[in-house]
Formats: sequence, structure tokens, C-alpha cells
Amino acid sequence: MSKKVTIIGSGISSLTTAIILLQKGYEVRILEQHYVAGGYLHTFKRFGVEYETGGHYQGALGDGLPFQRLLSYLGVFHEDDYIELDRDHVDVYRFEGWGFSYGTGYEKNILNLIKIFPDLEEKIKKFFDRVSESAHCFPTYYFKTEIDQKLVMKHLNISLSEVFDELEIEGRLREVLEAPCLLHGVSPKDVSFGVHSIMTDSLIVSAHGFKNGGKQLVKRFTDKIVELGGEILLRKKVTSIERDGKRIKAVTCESGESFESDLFISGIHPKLIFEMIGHENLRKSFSSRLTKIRESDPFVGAYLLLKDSVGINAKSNYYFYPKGTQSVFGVELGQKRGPFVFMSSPLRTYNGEGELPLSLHAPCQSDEFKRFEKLEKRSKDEEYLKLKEELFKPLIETIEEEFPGFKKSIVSICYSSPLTNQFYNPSPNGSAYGIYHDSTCTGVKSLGPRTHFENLYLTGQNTLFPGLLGASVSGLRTSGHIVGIKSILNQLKN
Amino acid sequence: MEKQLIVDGINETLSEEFELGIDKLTPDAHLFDDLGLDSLDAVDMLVHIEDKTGVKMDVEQFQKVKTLGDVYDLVAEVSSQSKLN
Repeated sequence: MSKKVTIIGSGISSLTTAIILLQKGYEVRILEQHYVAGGYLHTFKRFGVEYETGGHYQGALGDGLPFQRLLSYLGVFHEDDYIELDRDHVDVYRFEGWGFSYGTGYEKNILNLIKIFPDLEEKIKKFFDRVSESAHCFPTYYFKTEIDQKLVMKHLNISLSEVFDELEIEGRLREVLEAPCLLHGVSPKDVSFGVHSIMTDSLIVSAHGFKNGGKQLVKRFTDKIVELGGEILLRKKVTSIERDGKRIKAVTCESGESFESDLFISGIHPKLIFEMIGHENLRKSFSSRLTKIRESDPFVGAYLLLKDSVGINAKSNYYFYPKGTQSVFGVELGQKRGPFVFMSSPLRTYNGEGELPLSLHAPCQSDEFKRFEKLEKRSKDEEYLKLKEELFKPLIETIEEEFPGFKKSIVSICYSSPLTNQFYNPSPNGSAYGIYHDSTCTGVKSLGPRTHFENLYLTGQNTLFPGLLGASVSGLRTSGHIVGIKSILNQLKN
Repeated sequence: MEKQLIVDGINETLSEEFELGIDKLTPDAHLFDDLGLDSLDAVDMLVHIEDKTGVKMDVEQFQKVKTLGDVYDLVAEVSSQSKLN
């Protein structure tokens, strides 16, 4: 008799896990709290446009590259769903008075950096060699069945800052090389070089956007899951968990329905699932460790419609550092950081004519929105609306300096706060990247996939590294723990 | 850090976080057989010890430890190395 699996949450990690387990003969049921599946692949409609919540752009989706291979293996990759970003200007970083555009391909980035820093050619080459070497040694990224444990450990055990120190990279070069830390939200001092190298490599080797939104990929996943006999139940918010010693017996939803199964997989934030189990039922050592794990910064969002593009390239992503912010990671942790703003368009197919939709995201302080948490009809509250607007004012001014006419061109604008995030993709503080992926919870020290409960597994960005790729690979890793990773990696390799 | 300080720090962490009686915390105590820990506990232990002592361990070496004495020795060794550096 096939084993029954219940998966909580329907983000890309849960969807990935579901397909692999269905292919291996498991009976799979997914419980999703919302009326639609997808987690951070959700899109929402405003001003007639579908805006992304998380799927702003994807790395390693080019031919033969890891993310495309993984999605193809799952049977959900369709070339027409994606559009390649501007190969010369994927990530445009604007620092005070200067800037740099990361493009596609190692060689291009190395040459462009050498143009700016001609005396540092050797250091630049060494750094990117090291990024590539590190990224290629992880078996669940470039899909290898043989693992050089020593090499993996070498890259995991060192921080990005330590690599800069070893290579004697300082000043502006260091600033531009550490800027992509914004993609995982962890300071260079705290991020494991191994983790950082995967994120960096994935975006250097190729960068794509969704043609029809992240929801298109969700549809591919859900169609496949249904085709394989799995079920996705919507509006099923898990609120309590029944256990029997070290085994989970059943999960119960807000609706009162209970679901029993042989295995349970949680794709939601680990803190939330263990809260439901109850800290009194956890080993104290694990409970206190979990409590100590920090969350990454919460984000505010603005969703705009511009009358015209004012020179903004819809196939680029922009990162602005407002005046006085040398770099978001230039100050010690714990001090108030100067905000940066990330700008991208959900309409990657924009042909330069007509209205251009944009989204802006910026980190904010965790406690800034706390007072509105319990407020009913929050979306109509003037003070709440004003705070969101105020936070974006200086950021919009910064963009105006880069793209004159930006402000005047705004036809419509609306905002989101960490509380919006907490509602749609629950995390303790409304963070977008989940837990702060420092060296205490990455690599061997990652939370999950196994837990202290023998039939409960974890998946999702919190168990590996952030982003769609990180979350999807975490699904591969979780299912690999259940059915054996080698056979899956063998298929992926070929 | 002096070895005795390291031993005391680790014992304090283990008794607090893993609720183990101090009398059980001897150098020859086997982590799995005598202290009843498993491989997941070992990861939690590593994180707690790093947090307590401020010593960053080599995960590969830590995976080889069998007894509490091995843990004391490893932390002391890494601690003295980082002091030299």
C-alpha cells in the first residue's frame, strides 16, 4: 500500500516535493490556507496589471542550467513561460555617484569590472573563479552524484567577508561584489560563501523573468500534480497538530477537518509549525535554538503604474542606495541601516510603448508596523496608509534623480507592508526571505529536512537558501531524504 | 580560553539545553549511548556550543566526535588555534 503524505503550504518547495513523491508512488495531499496555491509565486491584480509577490526574476533557467533541469525533471518547464532579461544589464546597482551593471556570463562581468578597476584584474578573476568553483561543488545545485565533501565544507565554512579578506579585496570593488547580498538579505560577514556563491552563480549564468507571471508556473505545477493523482486542497489553514510521542498523527484545519497520514511535510515557516506543535513538546535544546534564530528584514512594497517608461528598462532590475548609504551592509549590524530600494517591472515583455508597471521593495524596521497588527479594516486606516507612503518618499526621490520625470509619470500607486506579507506568506515578522540565513542555520546546521519527529520533514527557503531556486532545491532535498537522493540526482544528471 | 573554562562552559550548556544531570557529564560519556543524543541533537549541540564559547567549529571534525571528552578536546584545540591566528 502506498504511503500517504500531507504537505502543509503550497509554495514552490512543497510543489516540488509533491511531484517527486507522486512520481515515486506516494499518495500526496497539499493543504493550502489561501484560495490559490503558490506561496511566493502568487501574483495579484492592481490597475489591470498582475504584480509579482516574489517571482521577480529567476536564475539558472538557461538551457542545460540547474533550475531549468530541475523544472524539466518535474515536468513543469515550458520555454514560452519565460523571457530572458537584458544580458548587458540584468542587475543595475546605483551607488552614490557611480554604478555597476551585472550582466549575463562570467566573462562579461569580469571584463566590465576590469574596465573600472584595471589594477585589480587578478583579484577580480580569482574571486569569480572561486564563486564558480564553489557553486559547482554542491551536488543538489549542479546535480552530481559524487560529492567532494572537503571542497563543500571549505566553501560553507567561510564567510563572504573572509573570502574578501583572503583575496585582499577592499573599497569600491568590495562594495560592488558584496552588493548582490541584497538577493538573500544576509550581511557578507554572516553569509556562508558557499550559499552566496550559488545565488551569485545562478544569476550570472542566466536571468529570466516570467512572461505571464509566477501564477503560470503554479498552474504548470498544479496541473502536473493533479495529473499524477495528487490533490491540492485550498482554504485549508492548518491550526493544530496532534502527535503521539515522536510521531505526528494528524493535522487539523481551521474548518475543523482533520487529516491523518504516514508522513507530514511542512513547507511553511519552521517557527510557525513548531509553535503549533507546542514548544513544551520539543526538546528544550531545539526549542531554544529555534527561538534564537533571527528573521531577515521585513519589506515594504510599492506597486506603480507609469505613464511612460522615462528610460527604465523593463528587462533590468535596479538597486538604488539613497544618499549617505554607502552600502546597506556598510554599517555594523544592530545599528539602523540605511534603506535601499529594489525596482523591477512585472511586465518583462514591455515594448517601450504605453504604461509601464513597476514594483519597488525596501527593507524596513521590524517594529515599524507592529502597532497596526491587530487593527481591523487596516487597509482603510489613514495612519497606516500614511506610514507606507512616507517610507517610500525618500526612495522615490532617489529614483527621480536617476530617472528625471519619474515622479510626474506615476499614474497609480499602492503599497504593501510586512503585515501584508505576514498575511499571505506568514513569517513571524513579515520578512520576505524568512529566517536570517547566517552560518548558524545553513549547510549542516540547516533546519530540516529531518526533524526531531520521525515522520515530520521540513522544506522551503528556511531549510536551505532563499528565493525560488533555493526553495525548489530544498524540495528536491526534502524528497531526497524520503526516497533517496541518489536516484533523483542520477536522473537529473542525465 | 583555558581548557577548564571550556569544559565548564560546555557542561553548563549541555545541562541547561539538553537537561542532562551534571553527574552524567564526564569525558568518557558517549554522546549517543550514554547521553541519549541523536544526530539531530548533535547539530543543535554544535550550534549551542558555538554560541556559548564563541568558537567556530569545523563541522566535518565535529561530525567525528563520539564522547564528551572528544568535544572538550576539539573545542579547546580550535580555540587555541584561533588564538594563535
